[in-house]
Amino acid sequence: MARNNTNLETNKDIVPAELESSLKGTFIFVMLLGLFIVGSWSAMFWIFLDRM
Amino acid sequence: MHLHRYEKIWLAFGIGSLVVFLTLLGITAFGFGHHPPSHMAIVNSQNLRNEAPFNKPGLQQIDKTTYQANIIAMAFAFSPNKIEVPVGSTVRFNVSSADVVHSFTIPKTNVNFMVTPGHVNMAEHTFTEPGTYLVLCNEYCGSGHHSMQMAIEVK
Repeated sequence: MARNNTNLETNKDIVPAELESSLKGTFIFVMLLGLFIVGSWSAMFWIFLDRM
Repeated sequence: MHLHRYEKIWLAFGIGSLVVFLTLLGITAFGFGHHPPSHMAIVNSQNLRNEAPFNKPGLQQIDKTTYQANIIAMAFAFSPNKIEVPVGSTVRFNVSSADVVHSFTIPKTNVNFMVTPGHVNMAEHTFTEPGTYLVLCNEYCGSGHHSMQMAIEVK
């Protein structure tokens, strides 16, 4: 029993490391989408100011 | 709560964009007095031609360079369908609808708003270039929608 508990303890330590997946691709796409939204909004706002 | 470093970055980017957007919105609203074209001024659309300011449709001069244009939108025309102002004039458009929802759009200007029955819809524009400005309805209002237009002559 004591040995099993020890194994469990070991497993607990491993679990977070397994969940830590790479977010690099997600990050790039989120930033590209963000830049597109900010860019298109800024372009519209510039047209609005230019026509005032 | 554990947040990945990338998650922190894109959350900061999103919240930062929101802060910038709301700050600009606040500056234009409170600093420059921008407001939605349809505000709290209302009229009785059933009796529009007897209600001020639409009982006197057309152009009224307010001061040397400022005019007020009271325009009624209806299926499928604007009344009046032509106005004339000198170059450099600022025109305040008061537009309301006698029937369904229309729009009042002067292409290539910031004048582009919905004309809702029962509301006085307002916009202001300074005409610095001479020419004939087309005004269109860009809110589909029925079978004659495509022919609904008027002109502003700037001389």
